[in-house]
This record gives sequence, structure tokens and C-alpha cells, in this order.
Amino acid sequence: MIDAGFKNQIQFEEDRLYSFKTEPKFGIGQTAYFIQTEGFNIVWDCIALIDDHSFKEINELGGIDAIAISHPHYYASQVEWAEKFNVPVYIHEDDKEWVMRPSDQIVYWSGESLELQNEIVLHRLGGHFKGGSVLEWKDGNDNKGVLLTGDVIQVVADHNWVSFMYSYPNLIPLPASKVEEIAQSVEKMKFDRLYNAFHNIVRDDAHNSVQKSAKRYMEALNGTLFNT
Amino acid sequence: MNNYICETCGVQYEGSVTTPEYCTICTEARQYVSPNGTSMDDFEKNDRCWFQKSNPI
Ligand SMILES: [Zn+2]
Repeated sequence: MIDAGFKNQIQFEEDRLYSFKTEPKFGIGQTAYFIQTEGFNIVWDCIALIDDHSFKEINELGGIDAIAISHPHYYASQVEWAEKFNVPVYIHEDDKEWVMRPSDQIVYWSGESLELQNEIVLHRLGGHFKGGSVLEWKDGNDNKGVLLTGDVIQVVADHNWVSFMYSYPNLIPLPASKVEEIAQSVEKMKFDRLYNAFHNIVRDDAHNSVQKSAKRYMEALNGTLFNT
Repeated sequence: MNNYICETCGVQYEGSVTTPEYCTICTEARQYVSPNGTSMDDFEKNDRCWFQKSNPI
């Protein structure tokens, strides 16, 4: 990859949050995030490449204490990253069968949530993958909160709306009951902004966006949204 | 030994001497195998290995 000219680009997003991805596009164009909190820096989701320049830059930003992953399409080179920084990778145990490179660095968590630090909590939502998880960063975005979702919750073309699918490339939806369950879990989380795994962002009022999008989705599946 | 990476989905495999011929993540309903076939890449080098490549007519 390195000889072929692939490089990682790190970009400032907002106070204490950076994104990084590989250029030119590699894989499905994964974007990962780096969050700085009090004494605990975390990488959310992963990409295929780690190069000297991004390793150095992340260390200059204070280094990493842990990596956490939303679902298997972001496993990428997680073990390579974990070994390089000598940190654990948190993965929900329900997706264990999709780990293609096993490692002692991987910590399988179970249940519905895991608090990694008082402002960083992982929540299992399922849907896209059984162990599909999101990261709630309560103090981000001027204390209004940030939700990082991978594509367990997907930001759609209209950035005021989101969607929920079993398969995005092959367009297989989730049952209405599962979407309702996801909306109910997310209701309790603190956030006003939402970042997905492809660098699309619901900037403001994201909490409401998730609820209204889930409602629209269920109405579409139930046949009450339109009559075409 | 090499930790090959699938070029279509970006997942890295455990070390192997031979290149994995298909990708478990891609050959599943939530991903897809590239119409050009499976391609595995190496971290440092640029030695792509193609499998199941369709024959151009
Ligand atoms: Zn793949």
C-alpha cells in the first residue's frame, strides 16, 4: 500500500476531535476518528493503513489509550494499529466470528453498554451487525454531546436525516421493530451532533434527526408514508 | 508470512504464506466481491494478487 502511494490524511473536525482516512480511497473509503478526553485518548473505528506520518502525528496529539470499533466493516487493520500503539481494541463479542486477524490485543465486551471513561460510553445497538455499536461522547461539541455511529446509524444524502440498513451496498432493510428498538436506545443518549463512518455529519439537532428518521423509516415499511 | 489486506473492503487477515483466495467479509450479504475479482494487497509493498478475475472478452 505504501509503495503504491497510499497516505493517511488527518483532519481537525472540532475541539478535541480529528478524523483520518487513506488517500486515494482504499477499501470502502473508511473514515476513523480520534478523540482527546481528560487523560484518555481513543480511536473510533479503523482504516487499512497506518503510515509513519500518521503514527507520528497521532503521537504528537497525545497518543492513544484505546481503540473501539463499531462493526466488522471497520475492523480493517485494527490489530496492526493496536500493536503499533500497544493498546487494546474493544469489539463487541457478538461479532467475534468476523474477526479475520485474531490477537491478544482484542478485548471482547458484552452486554448493552460499556463505559470506557466517564464521558465515553459504547452502546450496542445491533441491526446492521448483531454487535453493531455506537460511541457516545457526552462532553463533545461544547458539552452538547456527539454520537459516532459508523454506519450502524447511517447519515444519508440529506444530512438532516439518517437511515438503518442490514446491507447498504445490497440495499437490504432492517425490520421496523428493530429500527424502533434502536430509536428507543438512542433516545436516552446525550448528543446534538452525529458523525458517520464516511465523514458525513448531522451538525445540529442530531438527536431529533435520529428519532424523526426512525419514524419515517417505520412508516415507509408499514405502508403509511406514501401511496405509490 | 504476510498479513494480507482485502482491497475491496480493507480488512486485514492473519499472517499467511499464501495469499487468501477470497475475502470472508466480502462474500457475505452486507458487502460485495468486486466485479473485477478479489484482490489482496500488502501493507508495505505494492504486490497486488488477483483472484477470480473475470476474463475480458
Ligand atoms: Zn473484503
